[in-house]
Amino acid sequence: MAGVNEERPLQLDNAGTLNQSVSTSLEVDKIGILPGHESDYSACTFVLNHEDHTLGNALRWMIMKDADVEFCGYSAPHPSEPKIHLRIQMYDNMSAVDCLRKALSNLRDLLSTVDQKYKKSLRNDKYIKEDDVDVRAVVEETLRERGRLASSGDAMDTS
Amino acid sequence: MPRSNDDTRRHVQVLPERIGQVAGSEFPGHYPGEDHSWNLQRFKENLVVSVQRLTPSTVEFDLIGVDASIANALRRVMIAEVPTVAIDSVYVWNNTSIMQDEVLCHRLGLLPLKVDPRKVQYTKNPDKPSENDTLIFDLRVRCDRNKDASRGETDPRKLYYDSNVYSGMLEWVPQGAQSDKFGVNGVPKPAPVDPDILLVKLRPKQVVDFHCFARKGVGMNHAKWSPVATASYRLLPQIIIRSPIPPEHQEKFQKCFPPGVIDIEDDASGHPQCVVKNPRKDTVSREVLRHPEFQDLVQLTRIRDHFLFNVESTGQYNPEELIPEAIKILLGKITEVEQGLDKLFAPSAGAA
Repeated sequence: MAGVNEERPLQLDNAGTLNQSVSTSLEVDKIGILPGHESDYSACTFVLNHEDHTLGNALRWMIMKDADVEFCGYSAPHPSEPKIHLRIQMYDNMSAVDCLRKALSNLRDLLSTVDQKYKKSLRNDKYIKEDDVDVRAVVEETLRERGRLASSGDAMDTS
Repeated sequence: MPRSNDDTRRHVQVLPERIGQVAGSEFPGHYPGEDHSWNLQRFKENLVVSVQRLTPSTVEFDLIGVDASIANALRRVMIAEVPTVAIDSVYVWNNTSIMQDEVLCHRLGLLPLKVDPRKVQYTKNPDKPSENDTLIFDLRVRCDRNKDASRGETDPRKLYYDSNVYSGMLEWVPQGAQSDKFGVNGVPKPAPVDPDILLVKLRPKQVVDFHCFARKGVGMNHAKWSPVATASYRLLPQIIIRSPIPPEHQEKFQKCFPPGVIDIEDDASGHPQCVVKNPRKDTVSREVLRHPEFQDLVQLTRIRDHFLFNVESTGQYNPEELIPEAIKILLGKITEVEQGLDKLFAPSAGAA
């Protein structure tokens, strides 16, 4: 699965924020820890670069499912900065880094399970298979009912 | 076993003026004596994914047993992060139509192209396009008068040749070995998904001559790269009839809901009763809550972890492929963060 996202090149996003450091032109690290964390990492705020609510909220939920977590929350500090802050505080001086790793691995299991079940349902289940609504036919039918000439105007130019 | 819909912990309450119990509370420590920590086995037992309907452009499926954050992540990735190929740069050699260059170029960019994005790489350097990351399309159309048209003819289609420019007139120009990769072995030739999109109208002697570069991109940079027309979910409505509806009000009760939601059936003793037939069709209009005669007889809820997804593809992917692609991208994100953690705590980095 690796490599699905990495290959996307650096570029300006719509808000004009460069996804790399302006001063060094180096690509910024994917993840960092804000200053002020506990020295045993039992409470830290992680910075996830180039991530948003998509991963942030899912990860927050998975971390909150861990019984050793005292607090977990995330925020997007500014809408035009492509990063999120993820705060984790642990009970009993346990490591928030280990907790994050465990949550990532659990999230992978969860998504793989959804993927398997989806593919299984697509293969085995009985569901409605039908054609799309033919919009053109519906429009022509409606126009005919209203007594207007159906083919005036936008039919494809065959000349 | 999947959980019962009667489990009140799964209910989001739909009240006359507000909604209640929106957020789930199934976290460790919330209910004394209950274990709500993550358990993959339990998750597998509760999870139901069931495809409901498939057409050439849309897929509808139920996702039951996940949190809203997971369902929302899938939806967001489908809209903004599953890549497609779209026209990104256009060289305007000539344009004497009434439409401004930039407006017509914008229209070209929005055309969905039938190109498998998995066969195209992201552009590393736009100044150095290569056959692996760029597809080239030409649009060269000139309108002329039809000399054979009868005098007094007013229909432009009879009076002129090529007075309408359609998306199907874009012509793919294979570069390098692209002709071995596309348009052969069942891979369709790169072309717009719909050939009959009207781009601009011309009059005699007007010309459009465009040279288009199509690149791979994602919807978060521009909506033209979004592979879905819509990707949305709603929660399954659940109508609870608390006590029997009196016979004189049954028809009125039925009419408070869209057709097909409530049925009037004879019960075991032969008396007609209102029963919930298909809550899926309900729009949760809350009409029933406005009438005092139904006070306390009915309760409207939604199932908090039962998502009814509706995904419509714009044609680059088959609709049923979109969810697996979205999951692949989410898994890629997880791997990226894990690798970032490895790097952060690598001994050489001296981060610890």
